[in-house]
Amino acid sequence: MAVDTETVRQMARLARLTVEEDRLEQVAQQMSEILDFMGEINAFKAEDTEPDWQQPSTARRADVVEDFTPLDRSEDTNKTQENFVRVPPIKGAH
Amino acid sequence: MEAAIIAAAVRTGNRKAIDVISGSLERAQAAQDLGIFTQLQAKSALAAARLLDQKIARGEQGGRLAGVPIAVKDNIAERGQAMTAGSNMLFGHVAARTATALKRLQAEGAIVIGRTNMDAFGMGSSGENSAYGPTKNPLNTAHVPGGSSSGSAAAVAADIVPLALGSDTGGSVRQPASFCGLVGLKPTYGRISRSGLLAFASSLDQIGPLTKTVRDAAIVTSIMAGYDKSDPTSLVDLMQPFTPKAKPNLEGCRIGMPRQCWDTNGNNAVNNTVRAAISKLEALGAIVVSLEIPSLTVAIPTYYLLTSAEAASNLSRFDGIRFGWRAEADDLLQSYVATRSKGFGPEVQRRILLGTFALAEGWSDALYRKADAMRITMRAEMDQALEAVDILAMPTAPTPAFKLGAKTANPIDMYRSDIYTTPPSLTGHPAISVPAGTVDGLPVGLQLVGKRGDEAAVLRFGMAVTGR
Repeated sequence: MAVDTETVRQMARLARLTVEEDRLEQVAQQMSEILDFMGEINAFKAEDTEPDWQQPSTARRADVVEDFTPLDRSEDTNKTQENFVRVPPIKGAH
Repeated sequence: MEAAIIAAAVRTGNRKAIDVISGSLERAQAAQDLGIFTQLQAKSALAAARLLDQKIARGEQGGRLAGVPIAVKDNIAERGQAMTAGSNMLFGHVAARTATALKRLQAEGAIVIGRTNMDAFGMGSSGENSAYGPTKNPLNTAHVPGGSSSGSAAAVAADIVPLALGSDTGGSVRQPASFCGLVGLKPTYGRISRSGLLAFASSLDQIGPLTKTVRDAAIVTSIMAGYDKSDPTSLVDLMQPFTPKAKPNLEGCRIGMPRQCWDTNGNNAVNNTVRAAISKLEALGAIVVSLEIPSLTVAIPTYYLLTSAEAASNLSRFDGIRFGWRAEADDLLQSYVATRSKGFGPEVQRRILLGTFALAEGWSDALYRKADAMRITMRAEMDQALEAVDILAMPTAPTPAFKLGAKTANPIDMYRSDIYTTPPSLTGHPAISVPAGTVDGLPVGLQLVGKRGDEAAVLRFGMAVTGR
């Protein structure tokens, strides 16, 4: 599976990453090699199946909201103020 | 050094927890050039030890792991402690809660002395993909300790702690166990709660212990095991009890050697050493049979497609807004992109791109959907094979620990190190790596894979090999 630089640029955009212009060729080359290797999977016949997830014998918990305090939230405190996430001010507004 | 023996001494008052923990911290300090820890927690560890000693002096129960120093992989949360998963992306992140598995160990008296180095976000087989620099193998410092639980394996191999927690998505506990001469267990998917484990590929991730003995692995796993309401994929079924026996009677037991794992493509010296370890099981009465599991030949592409797709999705939450490090920019989109491009290391970015390909319109049928179908086929084949035999046996890794830098230039070569460990992760079966012997002076592991839910069997056969 050959991957061109335009496709790499497109995938990077979707993944919210930048690939520097001077590295595009190299990344496209590497992705092509990796996808060729991954393509070995197509040599193998597999049943046509629906998407799968592991099916352990799990229990369903009751759908009840439990109390939590801001301390239990996982955001970093240097990024929060009271119950809000802090972001930089909007630039170029005036 | 064995956790159970330390705990027994502390519990009965024969040893003070404070002495055990101080000793462990001193050894960690002395081994600093191995790159094992991302942080040591001397203050909290010593405080916990003093509290435990007072508790025991008052005649209260110390717990099954009383005073046992443990090291925790840097992707398993402990409240109030930094958690970076070996990546610059999470620089400055402090965990808000403690992982269920760790909480259960702490409730039995285990004391965390530090957090261990790892391939960033669990992506790597050598410990070299870390923002903190590589970990060295304590048995030979020119070699890697394996990965991604590199620091956890090295901490036990260097005798700093008797027990370390790792996480295993495609071999990240078992392969470093093999490279460092340790016991490493990946339980059945769902056996141990993933709550508080930083998600890499959620449908494969499992926490697992690295220990010197199978006995310790059994104790620790049984403590961590069990349903947890904060992980809806955790199993309700109880783990089967395991009675440690150095020489169990294995008359009538059948061991399956999948031909796909014993082809001459493998390293012959590794195969011979691992085969010799299996003969110990034959000496106890077990019968060895060869069998076929055809889908194993495409385990690596299947694994890398599915895990990269899940990782691309899981890691989308790291945009600099809520956790860790943030690159400031003129607008939010630029800030996301700058944060992610500078925060994630090269291997993580490679996998995110690969995962994005695998899920992209026009590609996903040939990549993600195909890999998912392969996984279902593989699980059916493994279940079928395990109806005919009690356990599957193969090398844990195709080579002993390779040299630092040997595979960093070639990702596909690195991915191939996971050839034998990825199948049980894909299918959810429990698997253990136990020391089988050495090749060129470096340890190699025997991997034993059991029926889903049957940790007791892998522990029983594992202990029959190691005797402890």
